[in-house]
Amino acid sequence: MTEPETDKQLVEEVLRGRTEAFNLLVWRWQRPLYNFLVRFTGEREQALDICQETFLRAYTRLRDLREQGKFASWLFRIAVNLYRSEQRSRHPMAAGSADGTPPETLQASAPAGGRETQLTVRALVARLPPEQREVLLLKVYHGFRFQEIASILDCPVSTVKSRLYKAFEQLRAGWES
Amino acid sequence: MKCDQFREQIAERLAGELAEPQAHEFDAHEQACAACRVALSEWQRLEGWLRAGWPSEDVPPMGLIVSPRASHTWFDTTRVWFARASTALVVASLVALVLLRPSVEWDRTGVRLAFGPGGPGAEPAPAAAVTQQQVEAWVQAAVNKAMTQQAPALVTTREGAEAARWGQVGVQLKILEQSQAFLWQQLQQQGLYLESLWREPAGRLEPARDIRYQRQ
Repeated sequence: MTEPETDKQLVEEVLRGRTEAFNLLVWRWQRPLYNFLVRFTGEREQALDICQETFLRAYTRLRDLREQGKFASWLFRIAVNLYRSEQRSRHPMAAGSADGTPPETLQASAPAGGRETQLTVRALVARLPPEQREVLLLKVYHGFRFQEIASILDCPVSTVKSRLYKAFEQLRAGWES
Repeated sequence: MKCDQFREQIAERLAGELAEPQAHEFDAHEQACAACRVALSEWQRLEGWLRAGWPSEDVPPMGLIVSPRASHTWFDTTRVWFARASTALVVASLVALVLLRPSVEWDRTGVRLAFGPGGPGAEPAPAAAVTQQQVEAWVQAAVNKAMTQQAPALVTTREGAEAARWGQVGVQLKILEQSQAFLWQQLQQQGLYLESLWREPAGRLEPARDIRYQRQ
């Protein structure tokens, strides 16, 4: 059985002209990206739109990707930037922050018993400030390294760490209450 | 290591991102401090609770599919360059035809070819300029004649010489036009479309062409 191709190999293939290799990148990353956006925006429709736009933008700008092994963090960075610019155009007064509608309205789809937990988790995550929420989602749900999160969010690693720590402190307080 | 430092490094330690000297200090502090062991345990439980409380969903169909491009072997590249060269040749021939204004005359003594205004032994150019309608009529007549395979007639008059000269131009234009049409036909039969003539084998990535984009 052959080893699955790495992101770097797939990116190189696309750039060499085997454009359909991009489908594998979409197939590999659409679920994590979509779920990150659903958790971050709280709206499935908006998440899907940004997800599609992100892949289109990634395809057209693939030549700009300098470190081809870092396709995932580059992709998430595009998505975060798209979301931020969309928020700015929706709420011009809130320019400069990535604040959005808290995802408390997102319906939980859990079996009986887990539903209450799901609703609580969503409500607590939704109450986090956006800059803490995005760090928490990227770390806890998607397992990015601190360095990668810093690259996605375009901020220092120390900032990422302190935001995560603050997010956990706030979540723990809500969880215990 | 102090307790504050320990707690700030919990996420890094759990993710395996703490470098060795700090990792060793972290573990030593964990063994020594009961309160920090509780904090570590709480953090782990909270992480597990967060993950369990918000599982990933399936992605709705995005309808993003990148179509494969035609493979570009050395043969394809050669074919593209051949097509480009042929097109350039046709264009160059047309330009030469217009600039050189070749003329052919024939009579019982033979055929004479010349370039520029007037042919060998041609009558002096008419004082009045030839109108465009006249030229078009001559060209059309000559083309019709060429198409119906009629034998060339003996040219005796000045107007006839001019008509014959433009007629020859028309015939040659028609031949070139047919050649070009034939060339395009051949290219299309081989799946080599017009746009492919003007791009490099591994050209720009264009979603408009490569991606079928439709919300399902």
